Amino acid sequence: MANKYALFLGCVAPYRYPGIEKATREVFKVMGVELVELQGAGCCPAPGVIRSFDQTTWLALAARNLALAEKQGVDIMTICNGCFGSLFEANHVLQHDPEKLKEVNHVLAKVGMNYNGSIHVRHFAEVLYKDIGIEKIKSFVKNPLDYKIAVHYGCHFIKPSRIKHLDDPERPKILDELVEATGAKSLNYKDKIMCCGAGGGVRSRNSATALKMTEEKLKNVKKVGAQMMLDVCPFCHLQYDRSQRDLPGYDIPVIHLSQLYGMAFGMPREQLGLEAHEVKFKL
Amino acid sequence: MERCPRNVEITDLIFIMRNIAVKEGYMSEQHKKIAENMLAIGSTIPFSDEMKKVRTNMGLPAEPPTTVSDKKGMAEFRKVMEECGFDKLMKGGKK
Repeated sequence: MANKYALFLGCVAPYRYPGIEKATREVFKVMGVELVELQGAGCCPAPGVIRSFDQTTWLALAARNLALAEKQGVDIMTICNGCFGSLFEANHVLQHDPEKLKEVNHVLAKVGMNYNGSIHVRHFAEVLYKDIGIEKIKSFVKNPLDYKIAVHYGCHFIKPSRIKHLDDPERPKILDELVEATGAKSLNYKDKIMCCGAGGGVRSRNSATALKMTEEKLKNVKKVGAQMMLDVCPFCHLQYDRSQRDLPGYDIPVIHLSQLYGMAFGMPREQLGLEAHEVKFKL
Repeated sequence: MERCPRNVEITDLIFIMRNIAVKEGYMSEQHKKIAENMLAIGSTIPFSDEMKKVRTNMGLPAEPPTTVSDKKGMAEFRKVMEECGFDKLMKGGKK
């Protein structure tokens, strides 16, 4: 097991929900895993918007972030599905297409950088599940939880499964098992693997459509009596949390897996940043 | 893409079509704003002074070590975008 990763912060966690960043840092410290900084990292860049605008720019900016980690000789770890989607897929292209790698390195050379394609891109939930493991995680739980939780996988964590090979794209179980390691119960609900509504540039361009999809998910989650919704993506997190301003009556708090682990590992509540959420935790 | 019986890479096709639309100058104002943020601070969303306080209160550095605080990193990020013609493209298409 590697015990050192380069923490890729992305945009939404550090600039909107810093509790996610704080919880991640603390949780990995407790588990004895070192997270090194990616000084000067930029946007991943976002798969829905920037990749839709221009794939050449998308690939070059992702390569720059990958090169920052490669220079330190560590794999990159993301706390966001969007960052995972972009960095993983860009890395896949660069590791399989020598022409594209050459083109990108031509651009990176202008800023004195180079990428060799030597590192892996990891999602923190995958690191927890595969590198640390459920049994070891259980040993860090100081404060067993008894919540009923609706897990949201999001789009870019498992898919495209033909290159990610993390779990079954239709019936994944990683997050359910990770949640249940804390003592909480992970619920089944209708359309569990459906999108939150925000991705693909939809939230920014057509918020009404995004909101309809979000409401559909919240309806299904409420129906099974979930006390909170859990995500592994700050953008899905933002969509579920902030959309409830316009969707009164659901009152379903939203929590990132790092924050749930922070709670279970005994971190002080005020450090989890939950009070900064739109939907307050009364649990 | 996960379900297509003919293994058509639907997402990849949409990316290609969207890239063509942008090149032809078809882009919403909301999406242009995101591109402006990228060129200014290396992020899709702005970072406020208020957020610096929230971060400090929970024991994090006021600014994360990303392009919002790292001037050299931001200059490199911007240079990469310019080398790819992104700045010109966002002004109205055709790199």
